[in-house]
Amino acid sequence: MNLDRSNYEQWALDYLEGTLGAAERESFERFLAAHADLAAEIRSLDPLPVLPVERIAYPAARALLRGGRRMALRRAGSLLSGAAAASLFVGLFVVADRTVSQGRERLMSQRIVLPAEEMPPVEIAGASSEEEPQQASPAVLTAHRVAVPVSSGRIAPVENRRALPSVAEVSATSLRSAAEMPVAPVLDESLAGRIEIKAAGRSAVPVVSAMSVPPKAFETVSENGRRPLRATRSVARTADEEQGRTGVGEGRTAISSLLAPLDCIIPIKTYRTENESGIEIASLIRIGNRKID
Amino acid sequence: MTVSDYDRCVERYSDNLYRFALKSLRDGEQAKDIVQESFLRLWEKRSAVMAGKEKSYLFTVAYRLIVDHVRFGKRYAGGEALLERRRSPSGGGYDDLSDVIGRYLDRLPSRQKLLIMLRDYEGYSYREIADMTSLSEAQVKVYIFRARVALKKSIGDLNDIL
Repeated sequence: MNLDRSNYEQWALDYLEGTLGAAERESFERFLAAHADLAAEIRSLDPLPVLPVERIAYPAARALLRGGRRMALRRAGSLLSGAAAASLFVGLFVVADRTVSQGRERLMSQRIVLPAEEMPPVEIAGASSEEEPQQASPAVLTAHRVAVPVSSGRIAPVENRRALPSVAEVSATSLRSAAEMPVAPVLDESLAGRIEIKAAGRSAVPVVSAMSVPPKAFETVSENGRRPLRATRSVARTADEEQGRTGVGEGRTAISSLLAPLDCIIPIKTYRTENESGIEIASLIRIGNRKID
Repeated sequence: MTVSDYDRCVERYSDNLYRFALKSLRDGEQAKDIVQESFLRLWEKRSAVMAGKEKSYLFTVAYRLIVDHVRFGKRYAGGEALLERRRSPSGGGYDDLSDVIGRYLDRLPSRQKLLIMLRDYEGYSYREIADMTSLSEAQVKVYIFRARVALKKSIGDLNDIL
């Protein structure tokens, strides 16, 4: 590099800070050796004087803020409060629903066994035979009576699968008090033969909650004038069979419970599909004209 | 740049920017104006300022405002007389040694003072200072070298006095 008095200053700081290359440093030192006054000036800057750091606070910093952090924190706080309130509400609702469901299950588990001679045949409008389920008129409930000869104190499974009609068969009624809504299937004909409606067993909940069924749909004709669907007959699967109930049913029950209050506004129907082992494999909830699976 | 990013810049750089403007102009109110104007321009240009370049943008704006302010002061306000009146800091909050150094800084040409403060207070490299001030790197080194020579003489005198 070509050093002289007019340009040595641009390398002086690099020389003092030790950032010059070897060749450049040698050249600068040769220059200083040739100019003693400049060399004294350079040596006086070792150590390099720097300004002492001072902390001065800007007094109007808050006025510059545009509220981004404050607003974000405020929004986050509101969001969290809303989420907490919603979670609390949902939690209370779930707890209340579980309590009601458990109470209903306890009621359902109270089984009344009638002697065989007191077992009325279950006959629904359209059915005429006590011995075999028959085709029901499509205009009426497609449920059929099944006479269950049960010996005293024993509960026997109802279904005779070989005798399944083309429409759904009601094999038993659930145990309900007279004040409770009777269990009855309300089926589309399209579902006939593919859905088997079973009443609750000894520890189960009702299979079907056809909450939109008008009361007269439950009117049946029985030979002895009783109302068989409200009768206290339990023909249920055994407890072992009920063990196979899947989480599908539990979810459907929870959803049905949540939607029950809406039934007075819009018809809500639930359906359940079981396999041959009695394990629920699918659930269907119909709200008005829309299906929700 | 979001509003939160902007507020973060205010919290990080407003003090340093104020120190830079205050030591350059030696007037607290004018230094506040410089800071406010710098942040206002940052807000207006927030979509154009790259992430991580906010500080250098602020100091670049402040540098140019200070240079313009000094030029304006010389041109319209009686030149040296006004500058002489402004030698005394107002609202600067100097302590003893800091005040002494501040007074010696005032003897530096404004450009040398600005550049040495960018180097020593803010830690910018010669290259970065050159980019901010539209000078060449060699020019920046020359100005800062001369500022250090003058500062050395002032501190040397101070040590002799003490």
